[in-house]
Formats: sequence, structure tokens, C-alpha cells
Amino acid sequence: MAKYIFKRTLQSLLSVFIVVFVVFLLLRLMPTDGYFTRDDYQNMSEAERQMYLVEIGAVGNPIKLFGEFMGKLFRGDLGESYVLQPHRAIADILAEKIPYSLAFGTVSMVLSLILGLLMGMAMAKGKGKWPDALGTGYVVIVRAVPSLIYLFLLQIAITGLFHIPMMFSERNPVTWILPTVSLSLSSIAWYAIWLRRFMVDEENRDYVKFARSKGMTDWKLMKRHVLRNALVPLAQYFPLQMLLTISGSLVIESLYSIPGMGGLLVEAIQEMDNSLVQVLVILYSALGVLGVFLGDILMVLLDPRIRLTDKKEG
Amino acid sequence: MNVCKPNLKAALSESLFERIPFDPEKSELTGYSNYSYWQSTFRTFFKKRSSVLLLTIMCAFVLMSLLYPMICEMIPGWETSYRNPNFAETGSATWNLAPCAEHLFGTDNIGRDMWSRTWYGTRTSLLLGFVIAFFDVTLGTIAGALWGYVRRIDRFMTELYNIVTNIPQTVYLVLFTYILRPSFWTIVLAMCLTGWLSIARFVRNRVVAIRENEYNIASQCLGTPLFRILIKNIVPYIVSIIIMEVALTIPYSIGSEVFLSYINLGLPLDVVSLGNLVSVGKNSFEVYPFQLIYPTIILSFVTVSFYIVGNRFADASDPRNHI
Amino acid sequence: MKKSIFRAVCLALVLLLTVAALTGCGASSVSTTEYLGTYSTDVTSLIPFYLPDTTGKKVISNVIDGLIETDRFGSFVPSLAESWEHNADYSVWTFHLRKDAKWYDSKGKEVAPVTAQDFVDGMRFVADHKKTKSDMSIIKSVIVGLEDYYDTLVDFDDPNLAASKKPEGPRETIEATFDDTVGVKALDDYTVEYTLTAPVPYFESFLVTEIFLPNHKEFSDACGTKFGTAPDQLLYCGAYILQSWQRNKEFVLVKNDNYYDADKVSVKKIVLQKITDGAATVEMFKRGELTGTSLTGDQVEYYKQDAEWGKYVTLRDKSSVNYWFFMNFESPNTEFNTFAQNENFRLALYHALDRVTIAQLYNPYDTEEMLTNVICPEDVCYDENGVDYTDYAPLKEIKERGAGTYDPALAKEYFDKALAEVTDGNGNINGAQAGEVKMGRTFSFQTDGKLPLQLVYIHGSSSDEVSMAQIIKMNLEEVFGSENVEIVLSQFTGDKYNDVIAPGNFDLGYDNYSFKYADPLSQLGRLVTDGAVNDGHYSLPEFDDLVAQGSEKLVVSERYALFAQAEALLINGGYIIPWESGGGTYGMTREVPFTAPRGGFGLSRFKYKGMQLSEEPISAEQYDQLEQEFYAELNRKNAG
Repeated sequence: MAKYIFKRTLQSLLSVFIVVFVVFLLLRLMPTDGYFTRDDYQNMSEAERQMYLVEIGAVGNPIKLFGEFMGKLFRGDLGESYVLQPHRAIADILAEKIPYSLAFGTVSMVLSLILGLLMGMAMAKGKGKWPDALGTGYVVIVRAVPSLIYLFLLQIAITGLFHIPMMFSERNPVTWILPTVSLSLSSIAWYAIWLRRFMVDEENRDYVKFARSKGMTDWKLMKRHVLRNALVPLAQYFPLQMLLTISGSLVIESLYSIPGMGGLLVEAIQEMDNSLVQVLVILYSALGVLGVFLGDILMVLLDPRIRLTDKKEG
Repeated sequence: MNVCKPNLKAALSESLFERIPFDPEKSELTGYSNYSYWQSTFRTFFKKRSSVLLLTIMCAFVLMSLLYPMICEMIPGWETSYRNPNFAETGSATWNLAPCAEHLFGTDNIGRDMWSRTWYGTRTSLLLGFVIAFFDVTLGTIAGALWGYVRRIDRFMTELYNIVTNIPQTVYLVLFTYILRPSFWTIVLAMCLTGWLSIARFVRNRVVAIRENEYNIASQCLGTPLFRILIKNIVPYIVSIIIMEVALTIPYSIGSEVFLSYINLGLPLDVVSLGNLVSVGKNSFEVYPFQLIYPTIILSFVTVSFYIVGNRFADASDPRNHI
Repeated sequence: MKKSIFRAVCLALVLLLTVAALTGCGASSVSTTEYLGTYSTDVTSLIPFYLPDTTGKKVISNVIDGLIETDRFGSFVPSLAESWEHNADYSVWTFHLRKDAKWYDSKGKEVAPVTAQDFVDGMRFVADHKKTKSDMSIIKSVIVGLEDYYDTLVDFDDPNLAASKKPEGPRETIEATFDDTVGVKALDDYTVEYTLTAPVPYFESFLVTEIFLPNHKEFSDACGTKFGTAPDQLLYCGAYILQSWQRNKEFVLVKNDNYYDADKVSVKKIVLQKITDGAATVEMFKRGELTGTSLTGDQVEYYKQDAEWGKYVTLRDKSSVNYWFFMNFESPNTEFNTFAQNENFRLALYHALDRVTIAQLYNPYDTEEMLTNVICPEDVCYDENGVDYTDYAPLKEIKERGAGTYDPALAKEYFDKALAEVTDGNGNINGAQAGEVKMGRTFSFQTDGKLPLQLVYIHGSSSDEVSMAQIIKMNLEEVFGSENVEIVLSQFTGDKYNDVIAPGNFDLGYDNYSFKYADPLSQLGRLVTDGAVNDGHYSLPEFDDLVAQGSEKLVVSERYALFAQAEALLINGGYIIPWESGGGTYGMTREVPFTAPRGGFGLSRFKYKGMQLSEEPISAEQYDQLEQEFYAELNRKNAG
């Protein structure tokens, strides 16, 4: 087991390293005159502009710059943002924004799990009847129609109906509800469909028939057996999903004006704030890799039949 | 022990049996079932009437979005109704008109007919979706088949998959849009880059499942070239996946296009597409809701029907459902 | 049972929302002491001396005062300076500071008094390119010794400059020369003196810009590079204190009760929220969550007819920003190049543009009022007799053309004359070659050297600009006939200046230009040959001469006379096609108009000092009435 973990860690580090390097090079392809406005050309001489570019790390030997960047990273220094929030430590920027995305993401994940599983159960039980049809209708709309559309319409409708402020405001707890619910809509559909399919498959299994014949109620059956089995394959994705909530949802955060991580990456790339983009890419890829890794370990812990170090590569 | 043994010789008299003459033709008949994979698939698919309905709707929309622009091009003056505002005669009097007899969906903020714009937009978006689906699926299937079948490249491909999917997709999109110009092909490029790998992985898993089957080993022993094995043995099993993926990529690509348009990385605004229409319509929703609602309705019909048809087809092509 | 649980959870959510709404309902009353505003572009840093967008100006103008400010009539009144005078030839200006102004930190605690040395240190901060970017070019050549000091520091820091050419270090030595060589001195604790390189009668208009703000050196040195990155990294001497700044979210400013003019400040709290989604602001205003909102062209059309809100739609004042069209005299498109040099063609274009229809995209009502026919803004520059610069003879006539510049018949006449001069009668354009024209990295097209003239109109990627481009295309092709002129639309996606204007990748385009200080020279001086905003790269020696002559005059009316002649030359020769003024948008607001400071440029116009808020939105009638009263009073002041 330990050997496996070690091997996996090494592989993951290598992948992240390659990702960061590739992005680093891609960023250097962007034109440098994008850093200056018309007024800057009037106010700054050529020499000043060159000095500015050197200071923000936009010119210079890429390999050397990359080396410096990685060196600082290993010492725990994430560096400073140069364009988006000049002279501000990136660690501070992240510390300010991550809590919002994380809070919304985690709560909505829990909410969507509960609601999604309940909905899935209702759909499986009422298969062919109206709960199933309703549920399928919901799922289709949420998966097929672009989320921007129904989220926007939902925002207008609900805030109008209930007289809630449209924008998120920390001081006003009412405004926390709608973004969370909106965020979970898509996952609810996902969980519902998954559970429904799973339950329909399990219906014909021997252990279910046996438990039923012993007189177990459906509800207890769900709780004790079916649900647990259904959750195991799902559990593989839980760590990944939780970690990735940090990246925030761009659409929701911009609709409700939430100062989270959602729009940060896009803005950083558009403003060509190289140091910030690099840190974010490392962060997201590391989280992705870590999430998959944790998911695999969780699977092993939950299902004793699964072995990670199977000789058969398969 | 006193066991009762029936007197077989006495019970079975000759009269119970009849001799059947030897027939050389009949002796060649073997048991077979008239199970055909594709027939079963289509039968299961069409069993539900709603599938037929949706398929018809889907085809109707696709046809409409293809034919309407062609009809427009043939009638002089009509082709300008989606592109150029009616400037000369009425100026701003035609701006933002509500739906009426002359303009079924109303007009937009400089007087262009929304009905034609919606159909032109659907055409562009569908075209975008099909092109992406085509590239994704072709590349993905070939790569996936190879990946699954040829063991040696498995490690490399898995690493590549991990690396490429780890870079957030936004990075690709934004970078490409900056280095190239935002256009149809830039978006296709950016969206295909990660899409094909996911399809490849899916295909690879299926291939791996059937790789060990005896007939494949037999082919190998016989010395069949790799390519032929792939085409003849493996690919038929994944055709159903291909069709499903194509059907599901359409709603996905339209959804991505709307999202990109929202963050200003979508198609240039002088290209008419559903994403652009939704994005622009959203801003004037409070005052002119029809500018958002009609394109949204058409868009939803298209995506929903493709989605359901795709899923139904996926279910139907699963042999376990062929009852 | 699970169905009922599912139902129960949904019911609970709905109940929660309803309860919350009911409790929230009572709380949303409109306050007259809180200003709830919005901003759309985020500031990257609040270093007071570099404020490229309005958001930064809005914040800093209220928390840090300068020497002078403008009152609600737009006249210069004392701020941190109680009184001031200048010498006979306007080259030395002396300011006497008030003695009770103090610096406060973000908690409202007093830190130090504001002294004359702070103004010297403010200039010192701006003059060091390492500390901050700034709008230096305006004042570099105005203050004695500033240019040398600034350039010396730049040369010293330049790694690419040969060691022999570099000034002698160390840097501290160079920095120390500031006190002796640069023309800003603290004569005593409360007297600041500025020495200028040449007479500048309009020097006061510089003082309302952010470059002349004071700086408490001890504090900014202690902050180092973190200066201006957070509320606790700044000191405040204005009417408000920056209480909190949540990036990408909001600013909160609270009134400083110890401010020397506290009794003039009625708005106690200002909350500026970031809202990127333009459509949401109108909704929020209607629900009382915002003090005011602007309206887009479409929204104006709709709300003017709305029974409930129609009466609240008001038109804002024009700003000092002007928009004009310019054409490329050095275009890579050889067809256009020939035409551009021909004055008849330029005048044809001038008369062909239907500016009213184009502007209706943004202002469906009162469109003609938004148009402008001159380059410098109205209502900003007044001579010593109170006459507006734009009322001088040649310009007044141009102004009075109004929307009548659109004359298709006249345009066709000029165009035919141009055709006679630049084509040979068979459709071949003189001097034009067939071939590929490349404009920028990704745009190119084919020309054939014959009619129709292919004219590349450049526009941005927002939906309004795309619509505008379509209208212009239809407009010009209709007036000239599409067999004579074909408008090719080209969209740029990056930065307008870097990708289009600087490399010259266009034939026709427009831009907006801000007015930096109260003299026509601020715009005309940049429009001479190779001038900073001479985007078309034309060259008109007569114009350059007139501008040079005008800039040397000391009597304002003499200056204006010469400048007016120069400007008329530019417009009547078709070098620049003025389009419309900035500002002048429609909106709905609870802010009582004409109570806040007024001005065409600088920081004062963003101040909330003196602003009154009303509980109900201001109706158009109220606005008109207040407007009349205001202008009556303004005229009385100017006359008396």
C-alpha cells in the first residue's frame, strides 16, 4: 500500500509539473503590448515600459523565470499578483476568495446529495408513473438547457416573487439561499438519475428478493442495503468534487455578485497576470490530481473487494 | 433393498417410435435465432411513441434551420432581414418591435427580423455542434480503439489523459481566443482538444472489455493486421457509442457556446448564433422579454430533443434491453 | 415515506424563503443619508496618484482632498488651501493652507496634521516612476525641473542603458536633488509654492487632478509596496474615510465627523457595489436597493412609456468627453489612401453620416441634443468676459449647423467632385493598386484598384458597437450608392489603441477623448502633426501654426480666438468629424440634481460632498425646474 501511494504521488507530481510548464509557455505567447493603454504610451518612455515588463515577468528567459517561480513555490511563497491586484500577495487574494466558493460549494453538494437521492428513490419507486415522469422532466431540462438560461430566469422570478435582494450580500443571510440552491440544481439531476438507474438494476438482485421475502420493509431495505451499495461508486467522486468546489462556478458567482474564485482565472488570463494564472493552474491541477487519488483510496476503504495493486493492468 | 425397476423393454414398444428418413438438406440446418443487433436496437428505440415524436421534432428543426436560410437567399430582400437593419425607409421605427404578423418573433434592437435570426442562429449552432461532434468522435474513436487494443500505449495515453484534463478548460479557451481571433474554428479547436480524450477513454474501456474475447485472439493468431481487427471486430461494438456521443455532443456544445458568449469569449457578435442571441437577449430581458424567450424556446427544443434521443438510443443499444 | 420526506424538504425551503422575505420586507426602506451606488470596472490599486478609471476617482476624490475643488457651479473654491495667489505672469503660484486639516487612518483615528510638506511629498511620489504609473505627461513640462528629475531617475534605473550614459548614483543622492531643483516648495508649514516653466493662466484646473494630491511621506514609506492595496494602507484627509474594501465586491465609505467641513456633508455613508450585469441595476433601483441607475437606449424607450416609472426618467448632463470620427491618412488600403487625401471626399463623408440615427442606439430621445459639432466641449472653457470658448465666431457657426450636417444631396455633390478628381472616369482609382491589403494579424481583403471604393470601418466586439457598424454601413452605402462605396466591417477584439490605432489598421473609426484641463490646448495641442491623439496621422501646417501662436498668448480671449480659428480649420477641412458628447445618458435617481460638485474634469465632479438625497425618485418635472433655477443662478454669478 505504501509503495503504491509513493508511486502514485510521484506520478501525480510529474503530471502537475508538466501542466504548469505547458501553461507557463503558453502564457509567454501572449503579446506584451496588451499591458499598456493609450495613456501609458504617452506617459511612459520605451525604457520605462521595458522595465515594467521585466518587473512583472513578462519578458526574459522563460527557463530561468520558470526556475525562479518553482523555487519560490517550494519555499511556500506564492508570489505577488502584478496586474490584477498589484503588490498584493497571492496567498492573501486566495485566502479572501476561497472561503466563499468553498462554503457555497460544500453546502450545495450536501444539499444536492440529499435532494438528489430522495428524488432518485421517488423516481425508482414510482417508475412509469408521475413521479418518474416529473423527475425525468426536471433532469432533462437541467441537463439539456444551458444553465445560464434557467439560472437567470430563476433569479429574476424568485427574487421578484419573494422580494429578496438580487445580489449576494454577506450581511443579509436571506441572499445566501438562492445561490446555493441554484448551484445544486445540476447535481441533483445527476444524483437522481444515478440512483434511479442503480435501484432499478438492483431490483432484480438476489439479496433484495431475499430481504423482501424475509419481510423487510422497502424503506429499511433502501437504507441498509441498496443505498450503501449505491453510494460506493459515487464515493469515488466525492473528494474530487469537494476539492473542485474551490474553483467556484463562474455563472452563479457573476449572476449573484459573489466575490469567489469563479471568475478569477478568466480575468487573470485576460489581464495577462502571469503569476496569478500560474498559481491558479497549479492549484486546480493539484486539487484535481489529489481528488482522484483520495477518491481511489476512499473506494478501497469502502469496498473490500477492490484492490488497487491488482497485477492485471486490465 | 427392494427397488422397483420398471420393465423398460416391455413398456417401450416399437410402435411408439417412427423412423425418419435421411434428408441431406435438413441435416445441414443448425439452430439459429433471428436476432439482429441493429434491428433489435431500432425496435426497442421506436417502441416508445415519444421517441418517434422527438426524433421527428429534431429532424424538423434541423431541416428548418438548413432550408430556411436557403429559401431566404433565393428571395431578394429576405436575406438582408437577418443581417441588415431596415435603415432607409423606416429607420428606428422598426427597432424592438413586439411579435406581429410581419415579424413572427419581433425585431431586435436595430430592426432585424428575429424569426430569421433565430433560424440562422440555429443553423450556425447546429453546424458548430456537428463539426465538434465529428472531430471529437472520429479522433476519439480511433484513438480509443488503439488505446484499448494496443497495450503498450496504455500507460502513455493514461498519463496524457490525466495531464490534458487537468488543465482547466477555461485556460485553453481564453488562450486560444487571444492568440487566434475568436471565430468559429477557434472555438471548435478549443472544445475538441479535451473532448476527444474523454470519448477515447470511454471507447477504450469498452474495447478493453471485449479485447480478451476468443475471436480476437483467433484473429491475431491468424495474422490479421491490427487495422483490420479494429475495423472488423472491435468497431461494430462501439458504433452505438458513436451515435450516442454525436447526439449528446450537440446540447453540450450549444451549452458551452452560450456560456462562452456570456464571458465574451464566444463567436463574434456579427455571426448569428443561438449563443449570441441568448447573450444579447438576456440584457434586454426586462424590457423586451421576447428577444430572449423565443430563441430560448427554439434552443431548448433542439437541445432537449437531441438529449432525449441520444439517451434513448444509448439505452436501446444496450443489448440487455433487447427484450 | 421517502416521497413525503422529499416533499417535506421542499416545503421547508419554500417556507424559509417566504419567512425570510416577510422579515426582509420591512427592512428595505430608502434612506436619505446612505448613497447606494455601483461600479463595473474594478480598481487594481488605490494609489491616489494613478486613477485610470472612474471607480478609483470616485473613491479617492471623497477620501483625500486637494488644494482646491469645484463647487456645485463648477467654480474653483478653497479645499485644503484657504486662499491663493499668483504672480503677474502666471508662472509662480502660492497657496495658503488651512490650519485645521488632519490625516486620519481607516479607523477614524487622527494621525497627523496636513502640512505644506505633504504637497511637496505628493509631487515627489508621483515623480518617481518606480512608485507609481501616472498621467505625468500633462505636467512634466509644466513644473520647473520636474522633467529632468523624472528622466534622470528613469535613466538611472534603466538596465539597458550603457554605464557611461547613466547618471551618477546612488539613487538616494538623485532623490535628494528634488528639494532643490523641482519647482514645488514648502515655504513654511502652511504655504506651498509652485514654480512653472512658462505662464499657465489655467493652472488651477491642474490642481483638481489626482497628481496634485498630498502625501504623508512617513506613512507611505512605512507601507512600502503595499501602499494603496487595502484601506489600512492609506491615510485620509477628505470628507469620508474608506472603511472597507472588498475586492470585486464593494467599497464602503463613512463620513468623517471630524472633517473641517463636516456640516456640508449630508450623505453619511456610501456603499459602492460591483455589478457586472447591467440588466440587474434597473431592477435593483426599482426595489430601493440602489440610489440611482442609468438606462440603456432600449430601456429608455421602454420606461418612458411605463405608467409607473415613466415620469422618473431624467437626462443627465453632458460630460466633457467628446466623440469623433477620424480617418487614416496613411492607410495600407491604397484605394482609401487616395480618397482620404482629397478634401471633397472628406467633406462628402462629413455630410453623409446620419449621426442622429446612429446615436439613437444609445439615446432614442433628445438625440440631437447629444450631438456635438466641435472638438472641445461646451460649457467648460470660459474667457475673462464669461464667454464660452465654443461661442467664438468660427465655432459658433459650426455649432449652429446642429444635426443639419447630414445632407445626402450635398454629400453626393462633394463625392462626385471627388470622383472627378481621383478617378479617371472609367472606375479606376488613381494611385490604387490591385492586391491584398493586410490589416493586423488576422484581417485581410482584396482590392482591385477600381470602384467601388472599399472602406474599412473598424469597430469593437460589444453588441452596441456591432449594431452601430451595421447602421453606418447601410447609411453610407445608401448615400453614395453601393456601386461607388463598399463598407468593409472589421472587428477588433483586443485593445483598440494597441491593435488598431497605433499600427494604423483601419480606414475609418471613432473614439472618445477626455478633456484634461480647462484650456482648448489640452485637446488641440494633441491634435497637431504627430500629436498624441492625432490618430489619423494627418498633417496640416496652418493648424500647427495657429495652435502654437495661441498657446503663447496670455490673454485668454486672444488665445481662444486663435484656437477657434484652428479648430474650425480642422473641422471644415474634414480632418475630424465630431460626433457626440459623452455623458448625457438617461437614468433614474434619488439624488437631487445640481447639489453635488460640478466640473468638466479632474476629481471634484465625483465628490459626494454637498449632495442631497431624496426619498422619492426625482421626476422629470422636478429636474427641469431645478435645472432652470440652477442656470438662472449660474448666470447671475457669471454676470455679477
